[in-house]
Amino acid sequence: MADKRLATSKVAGTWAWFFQRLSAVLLIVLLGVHIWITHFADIDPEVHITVAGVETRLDQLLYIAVDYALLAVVLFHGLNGARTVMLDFDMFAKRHRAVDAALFIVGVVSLIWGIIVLFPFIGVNGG
Amino acid sequence: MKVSSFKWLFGRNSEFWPTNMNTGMWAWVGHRLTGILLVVYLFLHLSFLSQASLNHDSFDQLMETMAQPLFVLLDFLLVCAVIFHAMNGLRVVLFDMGIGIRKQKLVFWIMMAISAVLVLVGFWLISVLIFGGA
Amino acid sequence: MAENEITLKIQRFDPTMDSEPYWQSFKVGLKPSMTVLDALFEVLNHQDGSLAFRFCCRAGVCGSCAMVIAGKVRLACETQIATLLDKDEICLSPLPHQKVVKDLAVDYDLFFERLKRVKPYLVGKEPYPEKEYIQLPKERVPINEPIDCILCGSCTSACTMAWTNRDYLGPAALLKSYRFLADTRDTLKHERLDIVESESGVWRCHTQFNCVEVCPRKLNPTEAIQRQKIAAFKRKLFGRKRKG
Repeated sequence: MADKRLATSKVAGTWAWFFQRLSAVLLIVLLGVHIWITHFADIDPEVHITVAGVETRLDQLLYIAVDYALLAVVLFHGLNGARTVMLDFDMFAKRHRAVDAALFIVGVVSLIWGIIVLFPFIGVNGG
Repeated sequence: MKVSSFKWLFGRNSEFWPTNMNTGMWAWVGHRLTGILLVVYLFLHLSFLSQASLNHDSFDQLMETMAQPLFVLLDFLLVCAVIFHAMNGLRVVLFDMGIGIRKQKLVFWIMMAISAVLVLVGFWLISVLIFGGA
Repeated sequence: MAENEITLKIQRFDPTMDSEPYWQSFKVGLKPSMTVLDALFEVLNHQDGSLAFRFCCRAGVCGSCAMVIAGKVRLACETQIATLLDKDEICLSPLPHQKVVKDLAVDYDLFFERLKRVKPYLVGKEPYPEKEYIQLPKERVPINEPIDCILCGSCTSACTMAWTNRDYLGPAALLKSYRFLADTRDTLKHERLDIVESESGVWRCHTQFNCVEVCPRKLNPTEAIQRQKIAAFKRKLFGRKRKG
């Protein structure tokens, strides 16, 4: 039975594997930039983050772009990683389509949610 | 090790970890644990940010709490997890490109040395927040 | 413990009789250049005829006697007792996380089922040559190593992904698949890549290197898996080119 399932499986993990690596390398860059601009750039390190600070920062298009790119890449990397973990187990490997669908929905919802979350900060100071 | 200790996990008749399991295995265990931790953190991060979107006052309060040394220390541990995951991930990427796969232990320790340097740099940057600026 | 005696602590389990595996100790007289397999024969012949273990060639060629010896997966016939004398007792147990048939003998059905799925045989170009397929010495180099696999099952039994996912082909089968993919006489390239690039193929390997650590022939299944990952990826990227 297991034999049959494997032989007929058309699901190739090649792209999942490749984009996991690609997003990993992107993440190293994006996360570095994100941490830097959140905590160090233009900000006195002794002053903690405030709503006003976030608003000032998000007046710049570059910061918005970095934040949204990071959101998309990190969601993909995290959820694809979770998929890899799950498919290592029989229980989930048997239902890999359900796993894919569930993680896809979680990803899309989180992405939309994350995009909306930043709206109140953007363009407040007329930038 | 007691034979039956791990039967909930591995069936009832096996010695659990053969001691041949070595560097690569523990690197994988660490990678997986930090990976799961970071996914959990990602969603915490998102939910905390949405507080700011919903209620600006509580966000400022939250950030004040987060600026306490204890939470900054937790942040630092998070940074350590990120650095380990990133460096070990880079090692896996190198292997996938066929670089250093025969010298996996050496590559692991090189990556850990780089991680240690990065953690020290991170600690130096963060220490301002824990101990106060000079 | 007497000077010339060694204690073997063996994991006994008969699925038809026992509900739990248990440990049983045997004292065996030391002989010069005695292997663990020799010691097992001492127990079998003189102390307990009901002890079960696999063996065949006694020379590390057949791959029947892989078991966990003093915590490490290795071949009983190739492990000298003399190298284990620092231990008070030598613990012997079957390969980790395998179904036990009896005592130290494990069920290899799953292992060979996985192996069969990668089509572990050469499919040559037709029409068949009158004498033999010609292979140059330099074409043989890539398969010099993977061809040495003795199918002892150590690697697959040490791979945690193979423990938790029955569909995962495991390092032994993937090494075998690589051995034929790298063979210039073989023509099944795309069928083989189709099999290994499915989700239960190469993508379940997370470079733990347990298979490399346990292999009694010092082979490198992880590298074989990595090469197949690259081959599958290149084919995805550039499409299926027919072999010229």
